[in-house]
Amino acid sequence: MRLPTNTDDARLVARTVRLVNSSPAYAALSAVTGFVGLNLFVVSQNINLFINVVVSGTLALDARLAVLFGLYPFVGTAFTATEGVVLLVVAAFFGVNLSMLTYQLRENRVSLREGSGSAAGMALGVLGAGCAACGTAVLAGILSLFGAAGVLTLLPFNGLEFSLVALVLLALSVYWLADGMRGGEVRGCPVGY
Amino acid sequence: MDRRRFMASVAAAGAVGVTGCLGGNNDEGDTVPLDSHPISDGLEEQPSLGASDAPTAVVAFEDPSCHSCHSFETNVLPTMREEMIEMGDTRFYYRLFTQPVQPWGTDASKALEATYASDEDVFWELKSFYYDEFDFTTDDVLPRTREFLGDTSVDADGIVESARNGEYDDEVDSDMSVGERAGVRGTPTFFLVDGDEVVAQVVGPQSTSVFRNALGL
Repeated sequence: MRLPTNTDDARLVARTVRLVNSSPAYAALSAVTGFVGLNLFVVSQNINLFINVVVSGTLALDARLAVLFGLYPFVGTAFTATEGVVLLVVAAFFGVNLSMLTYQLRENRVSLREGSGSAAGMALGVLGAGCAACGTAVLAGILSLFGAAGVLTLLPFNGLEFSLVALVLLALSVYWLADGMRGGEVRGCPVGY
Repeated sequence: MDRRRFMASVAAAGAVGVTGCLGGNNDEGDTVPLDSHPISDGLEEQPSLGASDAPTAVVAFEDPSCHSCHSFETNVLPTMREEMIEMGDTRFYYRLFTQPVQPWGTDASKALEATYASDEDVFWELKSFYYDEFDFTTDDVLPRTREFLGDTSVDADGIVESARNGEYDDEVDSDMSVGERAGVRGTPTFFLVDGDEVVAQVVGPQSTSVFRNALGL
């Protein structure tokens, strides 16, 4: 398994991401997917509130929007500044990852390594970034399968660890996708070695 | 990996990930009459702030050792008191849902129940003490509780002894049972009551603006 080890790898990733997103369509896909990811992270913890108050009910539009926007980092209080930054970066990587995956799906076959990294990163992104409350049952249930339910109490950053792991997985997925394009071309421009 | 297997794995992974947080919501929609909702069980016997005839209510399920509850108590509740409770618009109920996030939360919950049985005003002071200090251990939470209560009007030694003896375990377990039946999966979780209807569930230390607007205030 090839891992990024030097500045050439970082330049490869930057160039490949830039080339893919130089297309307005893929840039829009990155932005939309990142926005959808952010909303998924934020709303998933309060589906009942979202459906009962934001979507349905009898409140005026401004009240519904105040409730919805109040769930977001830096607007509401559910996330610390650090959690908010990590959440936004995870959402951005989510978007870039999807646009690069889409490019690869359209142009090439996707490898198992690239696909699994993306899938795991996306799942962890939702699980970690969206869990603002302590001790959600499914997370505890999953950990209990490994005899590790108590590990939740040991996390020094109160669950932010999952978001950081998501970020690493998504970043690796982006690197593997870029690595798969090494030596080729993106929209007629060489990617380089 | 071909495209179909990849998309299937992405969908499965995404579903697991989303389920991890959707598990915090029991009902995905519809209001429920308060009388038939589990949170009404013993509600009027719980610690509360605000006017008894307030048109709306917020029923909180919290753990004294929970960092998200700590965030709510220190960053949100003061403004909620000022903008909603003291205005006579909302009554705030506090119920325990001891998971515990940290082991000391269990003893703290028992001490809170014992203190409430003695003096409700001191209960609120003790609750604030736990969330303000928030650096307890299993070994020091009850000694420090005794020390804090020693400066109040309640029997500090008696309360700590009650907590150690399990005299108020039933009250703690009862709140936990109500929370579980209501669909509480993490803390803090709040139920918003408008009139005689439970209109929404809120999870996490959301801002006063979210509560106020969701209740139409």
